[in-house]
Amino acid sequence: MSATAFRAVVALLPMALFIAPVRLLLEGDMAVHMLVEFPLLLAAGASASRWVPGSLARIAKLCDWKGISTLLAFILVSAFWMIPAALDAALLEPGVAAAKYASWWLVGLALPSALRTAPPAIVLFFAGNWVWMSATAGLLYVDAPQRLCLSYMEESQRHAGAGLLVAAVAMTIAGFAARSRD
Amino acid sequence: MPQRSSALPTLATCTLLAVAFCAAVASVTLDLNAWTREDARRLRIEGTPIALSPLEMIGHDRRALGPWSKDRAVARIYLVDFIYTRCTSLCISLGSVYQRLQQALFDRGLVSKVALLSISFDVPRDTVADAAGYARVHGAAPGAWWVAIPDAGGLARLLREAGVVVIPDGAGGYAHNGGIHVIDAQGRLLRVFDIEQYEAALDFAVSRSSGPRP
Repeated sequence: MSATAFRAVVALLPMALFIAPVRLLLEGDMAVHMLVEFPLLLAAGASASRWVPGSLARIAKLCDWKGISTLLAFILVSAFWMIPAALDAALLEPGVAAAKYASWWLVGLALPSALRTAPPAIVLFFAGNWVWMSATAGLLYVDAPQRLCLSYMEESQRHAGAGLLVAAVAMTIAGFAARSRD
Repeated sequence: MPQRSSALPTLATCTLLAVAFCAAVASVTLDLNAWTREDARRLRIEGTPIALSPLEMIGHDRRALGPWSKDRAVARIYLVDFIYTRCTSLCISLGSVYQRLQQALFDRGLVSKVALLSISFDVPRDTVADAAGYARVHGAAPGAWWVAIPDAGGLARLLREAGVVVIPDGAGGYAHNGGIHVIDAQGRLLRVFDIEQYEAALDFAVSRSSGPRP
């Protein structure tokens, strides 16, 4: 399979979420939902970015000086889907589920261009905010005395919390590694 | 130094994103008052009671029940919980709380006004015989506490309307957003209380139970 074909397949992967068993596999566990499905949606959008028409890309670039709009969108989308009520709504209401898929995919679509144009200081600022936000949410999920989501058990919630903490640490290490290379 | 014009569209975009984010958060959290769906459910019910569809059930005494169907109510108001008879955790706590509520009904002479209703959501696995066994174990008194098996279609509709979500607990049982649901004889879900707040639930039910039985 050529690289282009592979990117096309990845870009269209979210269509598999229309298949109930696939959706159950990716959304049946809170940790898998947040730490696998969300990045996959992001990657799918990023794979589709090379097919954005030039005119649209120019307009988008106009509104995304130094990648700030996209990186802000990434933070806001991440923050929103960490809210337990939002996560439950995505599982129980089809309209909210569609908004979830679209929000992550669209952020992914804009992310490659934003990361190419954003200076390291701006990337660091947004990455740093994502780290503390994810770590805080992770600790809340781990320490909460009751189920926060109606759709998940406490164990699943604790795993998701631990996963967010690991992701926050991984992002921090990646940031330091990138910094030391520069 | 970048030209101001190159940053203005970005500033406008960021502003739109922030506004959209705030609107979405306010919507899903009921203006930052409920960060979980269960909290939002209870707040919505408190603000606007939910009209529940009529529901047909068989009581543990094999009596046909339509607690909020016209002319078939057995009380003015019900304290409803959702159980499954094989439960070894939450339902046991609910059972003992309902024993205390039942005693309070007799002590305060409320038996004809307020009734306890435990509805199984494990249909069709739970049978009327299972409900009778549950009622026997917990000492459900005739006329005060019914353990009921609803019809499957009606149950699905009730759970959906009341916002009760049941999930497998991974150990052969179920977990659900429980609590004590206060439902009047017209089928309006008026309030949901935590199990620990059973006395407040009873006081609230009494305050809403005035007037003749329908």
